[in-house]
Amino acid sequence: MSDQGKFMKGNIWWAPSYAVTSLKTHKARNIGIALILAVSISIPTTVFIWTGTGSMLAIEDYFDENAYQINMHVKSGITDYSSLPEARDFALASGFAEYAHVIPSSVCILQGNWPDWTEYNMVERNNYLIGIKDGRVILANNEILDALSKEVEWQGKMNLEVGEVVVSQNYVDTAYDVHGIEITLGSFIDIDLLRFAAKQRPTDDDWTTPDEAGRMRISGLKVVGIYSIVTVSMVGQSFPSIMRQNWDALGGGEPVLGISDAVIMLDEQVDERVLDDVSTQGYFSPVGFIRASRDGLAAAGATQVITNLENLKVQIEERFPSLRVTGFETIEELENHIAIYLRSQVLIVLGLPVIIMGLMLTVFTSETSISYRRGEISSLRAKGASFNQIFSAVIWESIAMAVLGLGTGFLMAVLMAPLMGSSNGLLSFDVSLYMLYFDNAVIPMQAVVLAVAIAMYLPSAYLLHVSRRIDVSEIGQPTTRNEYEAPEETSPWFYWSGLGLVLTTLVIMPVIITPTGSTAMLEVLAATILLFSASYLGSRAMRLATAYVSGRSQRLLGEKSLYLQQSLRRRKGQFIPLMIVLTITLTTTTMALIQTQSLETTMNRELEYAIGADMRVESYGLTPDYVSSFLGYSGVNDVAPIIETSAAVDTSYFLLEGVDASNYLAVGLFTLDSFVSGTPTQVLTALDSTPNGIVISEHYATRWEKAVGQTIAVSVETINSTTTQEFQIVGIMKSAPGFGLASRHGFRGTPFGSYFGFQIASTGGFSLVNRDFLSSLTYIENAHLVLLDITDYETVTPLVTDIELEKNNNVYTLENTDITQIPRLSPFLSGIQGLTMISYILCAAMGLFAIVLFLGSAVGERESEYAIFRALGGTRKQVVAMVFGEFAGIVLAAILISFLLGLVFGLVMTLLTFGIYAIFPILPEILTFPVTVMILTIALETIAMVVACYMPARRAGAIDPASTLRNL
Amino acid sequence: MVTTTHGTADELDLFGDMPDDVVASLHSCYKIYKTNELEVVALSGVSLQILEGKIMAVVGPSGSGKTTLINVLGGIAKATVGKVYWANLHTDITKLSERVLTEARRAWMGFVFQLGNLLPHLNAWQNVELAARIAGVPRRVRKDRVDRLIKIVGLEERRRNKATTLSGGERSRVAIASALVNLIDTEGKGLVLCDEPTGDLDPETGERILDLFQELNETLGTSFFIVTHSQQVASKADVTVEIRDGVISGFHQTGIDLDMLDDTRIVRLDDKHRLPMPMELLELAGNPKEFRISYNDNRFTLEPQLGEIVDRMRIRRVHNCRVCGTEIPGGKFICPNCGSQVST
Repeated sequence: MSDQGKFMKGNIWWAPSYAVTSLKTHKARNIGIALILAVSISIPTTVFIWTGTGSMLAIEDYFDENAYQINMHVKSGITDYSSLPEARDFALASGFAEYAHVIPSSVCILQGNWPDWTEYNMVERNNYLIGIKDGRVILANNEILDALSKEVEWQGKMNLEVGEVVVSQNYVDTAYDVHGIEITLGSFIDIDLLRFAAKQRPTDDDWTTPDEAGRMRISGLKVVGIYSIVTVSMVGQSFPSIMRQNWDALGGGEPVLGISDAVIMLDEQVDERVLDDVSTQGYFSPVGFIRASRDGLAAAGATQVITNLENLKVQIEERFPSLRVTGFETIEELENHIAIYLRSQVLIVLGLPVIIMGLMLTVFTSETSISYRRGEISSLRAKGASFNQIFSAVIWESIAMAVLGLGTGFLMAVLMAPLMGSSNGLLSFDVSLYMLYFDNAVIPMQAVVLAVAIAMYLPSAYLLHVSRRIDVSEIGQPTTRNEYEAPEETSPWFYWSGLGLVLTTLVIMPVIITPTGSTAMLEVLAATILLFSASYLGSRAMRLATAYVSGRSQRLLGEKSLYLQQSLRRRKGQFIPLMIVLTITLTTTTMALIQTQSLETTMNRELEYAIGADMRVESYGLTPDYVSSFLGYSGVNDVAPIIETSAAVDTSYFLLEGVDASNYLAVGLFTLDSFVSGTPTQVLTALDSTPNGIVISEHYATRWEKAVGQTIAVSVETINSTTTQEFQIVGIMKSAPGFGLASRHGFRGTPFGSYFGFQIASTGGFSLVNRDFLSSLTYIENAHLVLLDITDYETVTPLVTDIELEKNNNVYTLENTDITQIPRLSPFLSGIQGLTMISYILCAAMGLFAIVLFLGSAVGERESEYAIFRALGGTRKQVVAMVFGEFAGIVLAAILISFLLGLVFGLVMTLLTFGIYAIFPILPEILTFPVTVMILTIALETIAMVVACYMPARRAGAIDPASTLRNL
Repeated sequence: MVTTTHGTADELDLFGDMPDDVVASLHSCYKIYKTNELEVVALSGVSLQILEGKIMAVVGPSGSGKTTLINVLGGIAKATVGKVYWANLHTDITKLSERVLTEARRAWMGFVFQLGNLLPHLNAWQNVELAARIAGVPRRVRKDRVDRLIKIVGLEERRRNKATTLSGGERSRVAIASALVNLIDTEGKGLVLCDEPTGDLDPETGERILDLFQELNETLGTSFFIVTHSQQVASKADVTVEIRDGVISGFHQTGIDLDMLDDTRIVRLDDKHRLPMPMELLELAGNPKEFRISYNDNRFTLEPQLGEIVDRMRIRRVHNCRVCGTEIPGGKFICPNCGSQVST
């Protein structure tokens, strides 16, 4: 027995190698589990990728549109410009600057075949009249020109070599006016560059001679580009014009020597000494430009872009007090754009049922998978595998599946996230936008962390199941299982009552506790739990109900009746999880459809109310005659011009909107919720009959303790002063069509009207008064807003065209306003629509997975049962019909109950989710049932699921009784 | 292959007098299962020894504790009380960790169950190889052993067939080969524990499997411990142990036909010199609680003591005082004369 005391430590590589064998052996089952896990991973990841990509695209847009984010000028009165290059170097060292430039500029005088200039004064003389065409000479580089090229309209090229210049169109025009020469692309010009500002900054009597100005003649400069300034830009603003009388000392001033009166050449055109002279003693202070580094900022986090940029600006200001640092003119727009994405992350709650269901299904399938492997574990133990080896084999296997699920989940998220950015309706999307989001997909770190955390859920579930199943005493268990399950005899009424209780709780919850903010979030979570409870109870009740119906349908079903009835009463472990999954998927689909449709309807109603009438015209001021002329156009039924002024009661500031009450009543799209003190007709009739009548907001009525019939003294701003007038309160309102909320005090978040741009921006809100009365009081006649009642949009098209011909006029109708195109709202809307589409697809996919997994394994387990049927004389067709009938019955029962649950949950969830959005509607939410879409989508899912039932049924029919029964 | 010696001097002392030919043994083992606050005594003071190169069969009715016995012996279940000795460890295994037991079991013990315990997704060759793979036997050695065993069990033609396509007898052969794959080259021959190995086989196939056991026992010298219902199996064993209600109620030698034993049993003293009583015979005797045992003429006579017989045995004997010689009446133990006490 010499070596009997020795023992074997075991093969550490056996576990992973066995995991690979096991994965290969049960391909379908393992892929199914990994895909279900992938679904759970993909939803939150999709939302994060969408918000990350959206934010990054917003940043890219901002960078594309703004070549420079920060510019620096030496403060006026300071003649030492040395801090500019230092600030430039400091910015470059920060890591947040891509490049920075200090651009010097001075004055140049156009030369040609005319008398030479002898004296020059930049400010006082009529230079053009005496034949001096001066302009700004900018010693730039091609990067600045590239940036400028994005902000101007130009011809030729905006890229220079030494000996070339680009000039402004205005410079070309004035050169012609002064000297009669035509400068075109390809022309050659000569200029005198003035290196010094004579006597350091010219004043009224500062004259300078060519020598004093350090004249430097540069000849033969080829004009290769001509540009025109069309928009306000950072580069343009950095070279401001001065106002000067050029031709007539008594005439009006004209802007000169700015970016639109300039010659731009490369700084390499002059030598270092000249460049230094211009930079330190030229006519103008050099300008510093900093272009922020997109990559550097993105690496520090999309959400921190603005903070980091502002920090850089503040650091420069603090370090270089002689500099004036400006920029960020459009940063607020970027900030809002990013904010809407970040706020939209809350949409994850809409996918919560799908995520939880995916995780539940993962538990079910992994549990099933392990319980079927009890015999396998027992066998491995008998063959000498230690607990650790078995644990490791299973964990390796689950890690492989988790990695597969993680990869697939990410892939799905990368494919689905662009859907959230490109959806433009229920189940439709814009392909080019999709590709834009797809090509620029950004995967934020929190998405990775969350996805990995969810993926680890699978190995944990496996570990739990294995540790429960692995029992030392179980060596020698059979490797196949064939257990009989006793039929369930519980009354279905038990489950129906439970379901009734759950649904009652659900419906009562938002009535008792108003869903807003974090309360709404908690209620959504509670409703999600109730959804699962309801699905469980509904599934159990429907299973027994279906069994009862099967038992009563002998005539219809023949011999299948008994089998169906008994099978449905048994098989708890197989059918209940399946029915729950199907019920939740279908309920979620119905729910999501109702939510999205209700949101769309509510928003359209909000838009209509925000526009206020069939048509809305906004302007800086429309004369009464011009407004009256609208009535001459065909299709215009009525017109309500509105004038506006500021007003105050003590320290409460608000706006007074002057309306013609009867016209406004006829034109405005009122609802019964608009006014608190009466119907719109009652309130506006009272206003019409009371010249000094006023309709105030509910907020101010409470704050001032005023009621209808009382008077109030209001300070009113007139054209040139302020006057106090007593008004009689004729009504109290919540909101008014065309103006939005009467007061935003006490409201959380932002009303939809703000996003449409029609909500009165003043936080104090507004009051309605009579237009004639207000006009006589303030002398304001011109309307800033006109509401029109029209027959239809087509008929009034000529009016729309005529109105829009006038500068600063804007026309809005429901027909020409697309809520999905409103920049600050579109991410939110497309996000919701995209998520609905994704939920729909994933729910359908998950339902199909569940059918294939559960029914596939059901057939596998019951092979002997089907074999006995065949052995007893049943034909293959009969077995297929029987099994298909059983499975399809389950699916139909799930569809039936989920339709009912979907309606109830759809309504309640819509109310709850409105509470979690940062945007709220002014009018009550409209709950809408998209009946046709619901029926179509559910029908589509039903067909797919019923068809999926046929596959396992066919497998059951194909069982060979001889070989199956032999192995019993 | 990493090997480690195991055992301490103290442990060795406990079984220092254990004969070299003992492969494994149980010493006064009790196994009590607790289910729903009820205690079920599955084994009640069982002691037995399995000898090297022998086949031992355990027979008994369902629920008699046969499977518990095999689990306790195999170290799969721990004995509640008592000791279990494995020759390869030279120690009581009940105090050892699961890890140590698993590692010690690999090269020394194999299992064969009624259901074969084959993995359905592996073929016959792979099923045999699996235990060697788990144990970490090098590939070449492994291949050689599996090929030899496949040949020994006569499955060369079916080696590539999946377990599900094999017949019952073939599955049993694969299971036996699998149980031997780590034992075949060990000097100490090892022990194969079999739980109803022929339970689902027809008598003819069962007979062939038993012949295979005998053949392997003779050629490889492996010991077999077989739990069975089958008289057919018991007849092939070197020793047959009867178990009933967790108590060993009979030991029989080769070729014993249990039916022929009729009302006679052979019982063996356990290591506490106690004699287990065969339950069937007790039942025949009306379940007596007391016995009269006498030894005369080289024969032990055991008479059940029922009812009044017991009382009649109680004769009150008269004693004489050792101090004063006065007669002390029957049933009294103090001298009425001097007060001295009667001593036995």
